[in-house]
Parts: sequence; C-alpha cells; structure tokens
Amino acid sequence: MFILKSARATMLAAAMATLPISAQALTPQEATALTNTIADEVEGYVNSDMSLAQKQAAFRQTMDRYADTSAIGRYVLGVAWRSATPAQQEAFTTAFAEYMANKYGSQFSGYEGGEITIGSANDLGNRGIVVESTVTRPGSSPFIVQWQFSDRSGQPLLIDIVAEGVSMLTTERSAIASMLDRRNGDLDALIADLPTAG
Amino acid sequence: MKSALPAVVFSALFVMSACTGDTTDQTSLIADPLEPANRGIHAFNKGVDTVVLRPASQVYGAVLPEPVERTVENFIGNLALPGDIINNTLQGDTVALGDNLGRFLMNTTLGFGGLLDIAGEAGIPRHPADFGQTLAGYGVAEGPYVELPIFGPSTARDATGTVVDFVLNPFTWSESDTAEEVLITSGVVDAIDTRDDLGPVLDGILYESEDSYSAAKTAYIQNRRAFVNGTDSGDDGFVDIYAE
Repeated sequence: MFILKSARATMLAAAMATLPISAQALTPQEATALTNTIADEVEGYVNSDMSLAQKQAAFRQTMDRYADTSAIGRYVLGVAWRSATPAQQEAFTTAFAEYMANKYGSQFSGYEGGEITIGSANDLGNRGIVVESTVTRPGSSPFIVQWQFSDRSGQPLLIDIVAEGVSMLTTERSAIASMLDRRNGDLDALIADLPTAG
Repeated sequence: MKSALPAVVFSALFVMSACTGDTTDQTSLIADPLEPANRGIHAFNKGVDTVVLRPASQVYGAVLPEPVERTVENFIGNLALPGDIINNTLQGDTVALGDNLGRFLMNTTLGFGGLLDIAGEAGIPRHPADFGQTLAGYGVAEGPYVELPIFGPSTARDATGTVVDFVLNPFTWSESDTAEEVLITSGVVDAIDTRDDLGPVLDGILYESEDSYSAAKTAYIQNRRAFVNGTDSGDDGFVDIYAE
C-alpha cells in the first residue's frame, strides 16, 4: 500500500514537472472562448429591440464581468492615478465605467445587423493574448477588431479592444488627459463630469 | 490640373517632414507644433461636416438602396486602382500589384467599367496603397500632425503623399472634360459614401467628445499607423497595462 502510494506520488511529481512553469497561464484557446462569449453577448443586445439606455446598461454589465476595469482605469488616468487618494481612485473607476458604457453604447445603433467572426489568437507574452476578429455589417466594408486579454490580475480578463488599429486604451488615455487638462487637473471635477461626458 | 499649386504644397510639406523628423515625445502620440493653426482648420472642417457632409451622407444612406450603394462604391474603387497600382509598384509589393492589376482589368471589362466587382466575387481582394505609405517604406518619417482643410487629419508625410497621389493619378492629366467631371464627382461621392460608412464612429469623435480635435488626431494617427505598418503584422499598438 505504502509503495503504491509513493509510486503514485512519484508519477504525480513527474507529471507536474513536465508541465510548463506557468501552468495556469491563459491559453489562446481560453482567450478565444472568452472573445466568443463576449461577442455573443454584445451581438445579442446590439441586434435586439432594447432601448438605448438598456443597451448601455447591458454593455456596462458585460464590461464589469469580463474586463479588468480597475487596471484599465489606472492606465487611462496615468500619472494622476498615483497622486489620487484610494477613494478618488475608486470613484474614478466607477465614473469611467459609466462613461465608457454611455459613449460606446450610444454607437451601437450603427452596427445593427452586424456579425463578429473570430479568427486566430496570438500570444504577446507579458502583454497577454490578442484574439483577432472581423466585424461585418450590411452595406459597409468589414473591419478588424482585436481583443487583448491578460491574466496578470489573477483572472483572465479583457484589457483592450483595438478596432482597425485604434486602441480603446490609447484613445481614452488621451481623451481623459485632455479632459483633466481642461479642468486644470481637478480630478474631483473630472469624476463628477465623467458619467455625462461624451 | 494645370496650376503650380501642387508642386509648391509638395515642396513645402516635404521640407517640413524632412526637418522635423522624430520629435514625438513620450506623452503624446505625435508632435503637434502647428496645433493652433490645426485647431482653426479643425473648426472649419467640423463646420463643413455639420452643415454639408453629415446631412448629405444621411440622405445618401437613407435614399440609396444597398445594391446601388455597392455599385457606386465599386465604380469609385475601380477609379482608384491605377493610383494603387502605381504605389504597389513603387513599394515592390508584387502580390498586391498582381491582385490590383487583375481587378482593374477584370472589373473594367467584364464589370462594365467597374460597376460590378467581378474580381471581388472571384476572391481577388483590393489592396489600397498610397504615396504616404510608399514614403514610409522609403524610410521617410511621419513628421508633425497636420489637419488639412476638407481632407482632414494627416501628417506632413501623408499630406505630401496626398498631393503626389493626385499628381500621379492618370485621370488628373486627362484632356477630356468628361474624365475631369467624373473625377471630381467621384471624389465628392466618395467623401459622402465614406462619411456614411463611418457614421457612428465619426459622430462619436466629432460630436460626442469633449475635445473633438484631440479625439480626431488620436484616432487618425493610430489607424494610419496600423495601415502603414500592416494591420496583421503590427502588435505595436498593444500595451502592458500592468507594467505601470
């Protein structure tokens, strides 16, 4: 009995040793499956007869569920994040999520009848995994959307969406910097205005 | 086009792009020393969009049935092919050159002067190419950001490219009045069609951003760089957000 047990343990140890060091790292397959889930959800309400407010709320829920909203908020606010109090950081993350849902949710009407086709996935190492997809909609040329995932937070989460080379992270980092500038660096004013800002 | 204007604009922009090189700092995407002038032109362009382009594109999108819209796009796309082909050649891109040549020959003949996209249906894709991209291939730096009247966001290099593409286009030099009219009309229709295509995206940039100048610049530069570097090969756009 003892021998059997130890043989089992040896086998287990041997099996573990052959696994890659980061045994729990996000795989391209998992990232592709996540993209499928998110794309199905978004396609579902974009092509539904829900009201704009309902679509925006649904989009907000999708983002909360699948995206690393706090890491995105931190990156987008940049230098100002580091000098912010924890309460401000939290308030900014919430206000920014609302701003994103309103801004991008209000563009959904242009994509009715649209379809997302998932393509290949590339491992970019530390930057995570990028899944390629093509969005087609009637009467318009198809365009490429790339979905960047990372599990550096401990969970596999969406961190950026890049449409025809235009990164949501880069775009919003620049937009937020410009908005903060216009308020003379007053973060509280920005937080107050964000949910209703374009 | 018989005036000397393109030559003057060309040399001015070329000197500009040659001098400024890589002055892009870390915090902004691209150097923008002409920002005050650019903002003035942006306000003008936005006015043109509000009063003319956007309403026209909404009527265009609502009135034209989809097959007609596609026919118009086919025709305009076919007219642009000689310019694409010249740049494919200058870039030494033989695959794109072969496809574009095949497209032009098939669609102009079997496709009734480009009204039908026979080649596209046969699986031959179009590879758009322009002289700004050709210059990038020759190692010319992008230079500072420029917003051009009517044409919109650009860079010193790409504005130079726009002028050269105009000069290189065989239709520009046609002696026939009909060809000139077709060229001008197709340019206008192309602008309306593109505006219609990009509807919600451009509305978001121009009318739902607090600073539409900066939003247009950020979107244009990223999109343009992805096109010049090739969308599939470029992973440069992705950042490591956990590194900060």
